[in-house]
Amino acid sequence: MLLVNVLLAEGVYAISDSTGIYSETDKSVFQIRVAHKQTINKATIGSGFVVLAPNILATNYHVVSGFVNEPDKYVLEYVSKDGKKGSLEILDLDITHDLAVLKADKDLGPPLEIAAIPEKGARLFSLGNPMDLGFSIVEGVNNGIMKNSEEKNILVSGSLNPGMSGGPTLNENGQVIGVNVATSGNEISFLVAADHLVKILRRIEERKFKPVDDLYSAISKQLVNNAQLKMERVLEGEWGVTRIGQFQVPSELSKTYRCWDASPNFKKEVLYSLISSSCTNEYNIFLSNSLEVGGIAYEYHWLETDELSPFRFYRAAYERLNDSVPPSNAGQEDVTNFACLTRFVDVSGEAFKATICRRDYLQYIGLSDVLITIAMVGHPKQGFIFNLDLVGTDFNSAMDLFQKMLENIRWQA
Amino acid sequence: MAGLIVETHVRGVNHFYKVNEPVVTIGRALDNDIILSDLSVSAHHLRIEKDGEGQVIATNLSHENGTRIGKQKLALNEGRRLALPAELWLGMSKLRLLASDMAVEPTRVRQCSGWFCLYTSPVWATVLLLMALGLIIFDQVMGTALDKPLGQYLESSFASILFLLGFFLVIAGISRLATHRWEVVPAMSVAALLFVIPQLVDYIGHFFSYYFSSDLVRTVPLNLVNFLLLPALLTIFMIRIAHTHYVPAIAISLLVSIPVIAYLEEDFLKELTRSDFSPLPSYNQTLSPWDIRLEQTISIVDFAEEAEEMLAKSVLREVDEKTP
Repeated sequence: MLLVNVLLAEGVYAISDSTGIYSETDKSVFQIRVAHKQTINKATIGSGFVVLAPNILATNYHVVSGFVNEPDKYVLEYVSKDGKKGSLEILDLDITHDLAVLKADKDLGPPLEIAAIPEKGARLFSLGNPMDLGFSIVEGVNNGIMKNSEEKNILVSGSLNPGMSGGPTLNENGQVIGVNVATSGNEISFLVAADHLVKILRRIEERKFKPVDDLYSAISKQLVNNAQLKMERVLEGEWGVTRIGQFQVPSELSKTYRCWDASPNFKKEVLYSLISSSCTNEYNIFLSNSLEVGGIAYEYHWLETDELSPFRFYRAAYERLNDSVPPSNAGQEDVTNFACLTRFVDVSGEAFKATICRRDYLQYIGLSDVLITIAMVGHPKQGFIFNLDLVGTDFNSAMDLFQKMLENIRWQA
Repeated sequence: MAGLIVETHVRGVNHFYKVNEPVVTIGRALDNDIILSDLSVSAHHLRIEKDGEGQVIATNLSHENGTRIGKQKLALNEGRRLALPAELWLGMSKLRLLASDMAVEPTRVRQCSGWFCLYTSPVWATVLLLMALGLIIFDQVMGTALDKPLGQYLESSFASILFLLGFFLVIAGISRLATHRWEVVPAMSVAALLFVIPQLVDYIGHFFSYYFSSDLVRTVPLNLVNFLLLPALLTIFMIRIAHTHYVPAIAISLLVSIPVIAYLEEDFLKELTRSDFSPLPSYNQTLSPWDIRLEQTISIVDFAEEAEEMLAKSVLREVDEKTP
């Protein structure tokens, strides 16, 4: 759950025993809001903090995404503790780590310092404006970087709440070690490591505080690079192996992938058996409220029957399962239509009917959704389907993954 | 010398009057020789007589809706010599003057020949009906991978069987209206063919759809059948069994078919009118245990290479078109 969008507020009680940190940093934390141009009503609120220079604010990309995607409809502004408002412009961002750096129309306060992540167990203090209720400080415990997730975020035992997104999390010396980004409830909260922010700040310094030329093209490049980089690592690494029916297949492609059994519980009168397994990289890069990319999901189905005739088995069971649906909400304004190619390919000596479908993003050039489905043919009593879906990826990287996965699908006599 | 026959046509029924008198009057009044109970006809509308040479002369007596011969309107009390056969309009009512020795249309002999036996032979009609019932239940069984007793499959086929019965009654009813006879056997055949043909086209279409890896070879024949089969079967039925003329046969067939076609082809018509964007991929999903196909099996590498080349072209063109 991302920490934006105020709905109905429940009670939030921030621990604030660290009065020292509060008084030192409270001039450097602001509310960031995306408001409707005409009504001035807020659409999204989050938090942000001064960094690098007195007029530079850091926050999450998902806090400002409404403004990035619809700059004609919204305005972007900060609100200080005493209610003073001013406008903001976007200088640069890191879409894959959900970070954005903004420039205010005047100096706001003293910039916070950035420090490395402390050891596990260290006390941390998260600042922000939860639920639009006022500025608070929440204490938590550092659990370090989550190595088994694609995001590589910092896990904190502490209660971040909606509205605190983009706020800083500080060590005991009042230095920023991460940016509040998400929560899973029950004291499970996530931070973006501050070293990703440092990279953006360096770029901004090099550009002498000028904003990026073309935001969409910058985002596209970051997304494509990220997809290529992650794919390279997956292709180099060791893959898990499992068995589905008569096939040995890849399971987890790296530590960040998770596979689950997805076999249905059939009643007795069903005349065939079905074993299903589904895996994902559990990764989503936020682009807008309706658009997320970066997800890779694949599933295997093994069907087998003794009782059914081949005609009935194919018609009533196997063919019905041969249906691939995109795991994305992308619509007409986001993507092209799918273009598909169907051929019969040899996988481990067996003939498969294989289809590759691709559609591209209209605004994020170089980014594609790829759907791949292969189904074994010519076995009267057995069926095997492998689906691979990649959302918002680099097409050639997807093809590399597809080839390597198919090479690792092996018939076991 | 041939006698004169007057044929009137009122509310779809033909009447023939043999004319023996030298002068005959036609109109709505009860003192006429031939009475036409049509409100567009005048009380005394037309007089028909023969001159000394035996030629027929028609004289218009109506100043209201008048009399037309073809497109020509007769003036009040205007007489006109007519060559037989002649067709006249009295107001909205049609009248023909015929000679008794005129040749009539050849008799239509109903015989079982070639494909037409499917319509007329009771044996074929029974075979077709059993085939239709068999296919309805077969399709239910083949589409369900459950161990159920046949009775349950019969239950789920019940709606289709009712449809079959409904079609049979509608078609038999048309024959009753058109010919005043119940043509039970041909109606049975037509109703059965309405179920058998689309089902067979679907099975054959599926085979070729897999063979060519193409949806079109299945959907095009299936849609054609949905659009054309019912009106075609009905038209043949009307012309060959009910002996209707072409134009009314086609008109009645379309009248009966259009609601059914609209029901069957609702999705197809929606498809035609929807926007050119679909969030779902469209590819041939047919699978076959026999694996009879045109295409060779290729290697994974060749497939990936072909996909990289082919898909990029089509998708990038669309990106160019849609982004300014």
